[in-house]
Amino acid sequence: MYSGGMLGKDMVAASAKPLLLSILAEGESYGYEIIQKVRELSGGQIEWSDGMLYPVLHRMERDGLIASEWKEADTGRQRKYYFISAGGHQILQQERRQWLTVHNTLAKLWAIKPVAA
Amino acid sequence: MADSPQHSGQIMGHQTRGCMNPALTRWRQELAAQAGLTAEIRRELEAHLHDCMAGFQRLGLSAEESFQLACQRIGQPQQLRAEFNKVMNQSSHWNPPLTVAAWAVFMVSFFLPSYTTMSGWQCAILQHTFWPAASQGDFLSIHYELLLLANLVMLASPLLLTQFSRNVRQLQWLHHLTLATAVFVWAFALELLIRGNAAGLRIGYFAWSFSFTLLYVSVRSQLSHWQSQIACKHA
Repeated sequence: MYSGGMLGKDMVAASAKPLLLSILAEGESYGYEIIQKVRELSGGQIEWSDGMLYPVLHRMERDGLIASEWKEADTGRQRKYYFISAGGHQILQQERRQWLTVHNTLAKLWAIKPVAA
Repeated sequence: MADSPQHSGQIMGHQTRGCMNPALTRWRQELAAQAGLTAEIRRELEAHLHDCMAGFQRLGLSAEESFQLACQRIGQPQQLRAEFNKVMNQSSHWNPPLTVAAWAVFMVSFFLPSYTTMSGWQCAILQHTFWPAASQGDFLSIHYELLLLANLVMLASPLLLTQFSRNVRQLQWLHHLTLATAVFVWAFALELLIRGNAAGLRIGYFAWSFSFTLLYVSVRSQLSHWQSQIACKHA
């Protein structure tokens, strides 16, 4: 998953699941679009290596957090689209609480504005 | 599909088709040589490769440069294999002891007395004798005919369990199927009991029905195990 950028390897790995779930919670998407979106949202600070994204997506699908479906894109090509499952929504809520707890703890230490969980 | 010329032409596009096809073919061959990268995974990676190439070409790169960069972004086939194998190796963990016990009991039940003096296999080939009554709407006869489906589920279960238990969704589907099958076979005994024909039932029938319960329990235990693992991971 890790490919460089500003974030450390461990941070990239730990944030992969909540990022993927959050992106898919906004609507179905496919690998290339997900990578582009993460790059855009992070201002290029999070760089995922393309091929390593798919094992993560497959693992999440195996665990029932997401599901997939082959569909024809507007270019006429077939693409595998991923979407979040009901179980994935639950896990996303848990992840959100946990990440906000970390964020707010650090926010207090660094005297920056906390975020409501 | 990923290897078909039609698919190749479709995804390459007219501009790049001529010059890039040999390179694409080599790339496909390298991927195909990696054990564990299934046809579907390769197809997905190839779709990504073409998305990536199209992105680079929009930035003004040539087809060849785009292809080279897209291949670099996707990564080495060996590395991909290693990552996917980690996922696949964790995938096949259904409950073999209970499942094998289910299959064993199922097979043995056909050689045990099942109804009056008839053994299981003799009962199993009586489908045609129930057909006239079933076609006239006799519920017990229809139920008997449909028990064939239960046998088919059990016979297909080795394939179902090895091929369709790779994620929670599939396992949930198998869970529902095996539960429905177990309820269906036990319901037949209940129906015989209600109609006063249950006295003829012998051990073979109960062993046969029990094998479906075992199959259900094996899937259920696997599903619970998996769900608890996921819950622990996120606790």
